[in-house]
Amino acid sequence: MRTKPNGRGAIGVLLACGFGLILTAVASPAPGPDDAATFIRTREANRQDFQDPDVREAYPFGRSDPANDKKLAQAGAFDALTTYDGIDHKHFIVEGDRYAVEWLYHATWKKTGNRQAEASLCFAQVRNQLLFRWTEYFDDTVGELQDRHLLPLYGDEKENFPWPGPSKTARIYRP
Amino acid sequence: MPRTLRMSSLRLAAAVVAAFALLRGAAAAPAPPPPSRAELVGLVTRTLKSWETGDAAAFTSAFTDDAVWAYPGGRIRRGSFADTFNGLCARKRDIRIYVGDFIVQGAEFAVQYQFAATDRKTGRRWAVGTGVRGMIRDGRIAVIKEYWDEHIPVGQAANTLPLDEGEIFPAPASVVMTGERIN
Repeated sequence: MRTKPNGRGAIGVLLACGFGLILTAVASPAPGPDDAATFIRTREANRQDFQDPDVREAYPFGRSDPANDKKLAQAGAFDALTTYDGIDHKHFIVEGDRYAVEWLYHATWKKTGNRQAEASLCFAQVRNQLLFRWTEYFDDTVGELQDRHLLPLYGDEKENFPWPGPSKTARIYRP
Repeated sequence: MPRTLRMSSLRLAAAVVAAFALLRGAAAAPAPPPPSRAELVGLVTRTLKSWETGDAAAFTSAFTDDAVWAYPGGRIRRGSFADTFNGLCARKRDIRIYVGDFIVQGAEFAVQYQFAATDRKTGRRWAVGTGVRGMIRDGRIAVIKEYWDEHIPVGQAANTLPLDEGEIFPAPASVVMTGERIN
């Protein structure tokens, strides 16, 4: 159970925090405009609203850019086959202006109403607190196999994996 | 005081002392420092490159005894690594590994690379962009998780997708996204 610190304890905590802040300020320079950690903390949850006009994207479906995305959106391509249900289980690795995030993507197939969950590994680069490069790796056959009930959805595992487990369906390492 | 009770008390006291000693030992033992960035990048790059020479020993020795290797299709433990490695080398030749830039945070890393190989039976070649996330422990790889889309090698083997070997992307570099497969 947490308790409020007494008077002396509070002063001690304040002093420690003050020293900590001073030490931090001396030891590490302020993050620059391309700092990926700042982007994750402040903008990543709404990353689609913070894209550089020259962003370059890459997916298993091919490469894209804002002009191509606009064309595809106008054609209704982004929600033709599935409806988006959300993303969770994010795990970040951050270095300088780049970060990788592993997550679980959820959607529902429109034809069958079956759900899909695909683990993805994404690579991003930040410029002026905007997404400048976006590359996403996932096995798109996972969702297709889930739609045919040949693979389970992910269970209660705390960590993401490229292939849900335990599953009776397996494949050799690279065809 | 009855003898049995005194003995129990002594045992209890000894257990408490032992437990404290263990706790102190655990608290005092410093966690091994994460590898330097150069060490980590060198280890992972060498391990990936060992596919090119088909050196199963070099590949497997880079992993901890309890390592996990996960990929689209399965999740295996260290005991099966050599069989999986040799199994692919028996099916493929002319393996080339193109390694991209690393993202490193402490003992964790992420890297993109392209795995290219020719099938010994059909002579068909594929070159598959792969995203990797992993973790190093005690100077060896403890976890490696590889992400790629199985549609890519299957499409390349069927000549419905280009190779674009040497350019590291999830799909062949010259493929522009259309609405056919987005889901």
